[in-house]
Amino acid sequence: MFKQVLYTQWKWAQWGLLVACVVVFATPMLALASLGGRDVSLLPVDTVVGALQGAGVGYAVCAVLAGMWIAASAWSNDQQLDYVYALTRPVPRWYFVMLRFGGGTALVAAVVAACVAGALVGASVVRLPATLHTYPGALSLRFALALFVSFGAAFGVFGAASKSLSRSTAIGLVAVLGIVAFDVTLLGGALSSAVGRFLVSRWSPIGVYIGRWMLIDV
Amino acid sequence: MNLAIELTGVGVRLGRSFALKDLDLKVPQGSVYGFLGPNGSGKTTTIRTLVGLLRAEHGTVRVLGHDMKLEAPRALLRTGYVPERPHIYPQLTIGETIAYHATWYPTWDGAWAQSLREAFALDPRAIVKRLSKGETGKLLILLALAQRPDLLVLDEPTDGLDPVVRRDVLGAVLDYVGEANATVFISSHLIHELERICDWVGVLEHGQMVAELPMHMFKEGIKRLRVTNAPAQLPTTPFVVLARASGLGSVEEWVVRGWQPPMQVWFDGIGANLRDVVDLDLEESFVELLRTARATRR
Repeated sequence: MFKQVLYTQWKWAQWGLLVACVVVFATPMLALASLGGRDVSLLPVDTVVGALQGAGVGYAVCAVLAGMWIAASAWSNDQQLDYVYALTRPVPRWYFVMLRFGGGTALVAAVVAACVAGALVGASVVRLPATLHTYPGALSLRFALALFVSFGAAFGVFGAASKSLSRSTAIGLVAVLGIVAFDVTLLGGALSSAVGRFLVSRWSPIGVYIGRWMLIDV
Repeated sequence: MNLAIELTGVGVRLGRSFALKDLDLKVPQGSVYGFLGPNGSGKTTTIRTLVGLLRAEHGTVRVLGHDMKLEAPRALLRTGYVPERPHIYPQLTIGETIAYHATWYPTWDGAWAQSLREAFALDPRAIVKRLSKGETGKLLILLALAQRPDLLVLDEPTDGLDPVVRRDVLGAVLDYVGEANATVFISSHLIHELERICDWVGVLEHGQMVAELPMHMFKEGIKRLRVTNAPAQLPTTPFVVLARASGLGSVEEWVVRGWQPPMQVWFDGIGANLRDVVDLDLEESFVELLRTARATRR
């Protein structure tokens, strides 16, 4: 059953998935190519780190887009059919959702594997100045977490029926506006600043996108 | 009587109004049940409720003995469903669709699916979204049949199909029913088609059942009578007069329900003459029944 579900999700997502795998695999090589080749040992440390920081943005963007693509393609066919086929499967609904989620996670793993491979290849071929080191494991882990977060969030959004989604969005917006109004009028904005600080901290779900995406760092 | 489907006091709300109001419906096991009703009467809503796509606001829905609120997957495992609009994934090929569908049913009969695919001349490499209406209809029936269900729920399965495809599709359904003693719940606008294959009939109007009875009783119970010299005001009748209209000369045409031959003597008692008793076909019976139901509601 899972094999068939995975196959359909692969079929629906394959082209976007292929692009994501190629981009994420090639990013370290492209960053090195922008520095003139794999031997960067004679370049200034700032130049090397700066180039790799630029590539890091590419990883974050790729994680967001690939996660959204995998989630959207998991549900788009069911959405198009008003979920009639999905809802008439002879399994509990939570089980069907878990099968789809499992299929999506397997596709996420494929992109992560491409990231690991690209990072390992990049790390193994580069010749660095003595003060710099490669971090393929840390980069891959950050990419995997970011991809999984964006996939998970988008899976929830795309999987919801449009009616429940608009209802939840409306309730959420009203709640946020209410809290902000309460905060601004009675607490002088202290709550909003604390939430803002939390969101950009390493502990927040979006914190993973904001940190340093470095294959090569000091 | 064992029931394959049993709806009791079911109410389903679509938007602000009830699409089904206290609906009672009983489908005997092993029957071919024709579900009739004009457009907008709630046929598709009823079908969507009994396959678990819609939740009843009140009442109980039991399919193959399972309460659809609590045990829908168990009922769906034994139910083949063909919806009004195709529900299969458009980007898959026929072969992929069959393989994907098969995976959900432990009772799937691969050899039969293969022979049906060949009999229906369906190319396994063809992509679903490029299939004609007839090919899609045949594929949907193939999927529903090859899972070897105890119950087939068919919502307008032959709508828009040409007569040849219609014959193929209904032929396959009837072959299966004959072999497996399965129950079929079929809704269709093609009343003559239902007349040929159904042994039970239910008529729905404005979300409520107007009639539910064996086909032979439905057809035999409603007659057109040609009567002369009938008084303008009728005393109590032993049958229900659905319609009464002037014919040629002094002849009147009555459409009645609950007619039985011994009732002829009643006409002698009121000084009228019964000239003729004409059988109505299912379509005429259906129209007369609806006309009465609407007049009663007004």
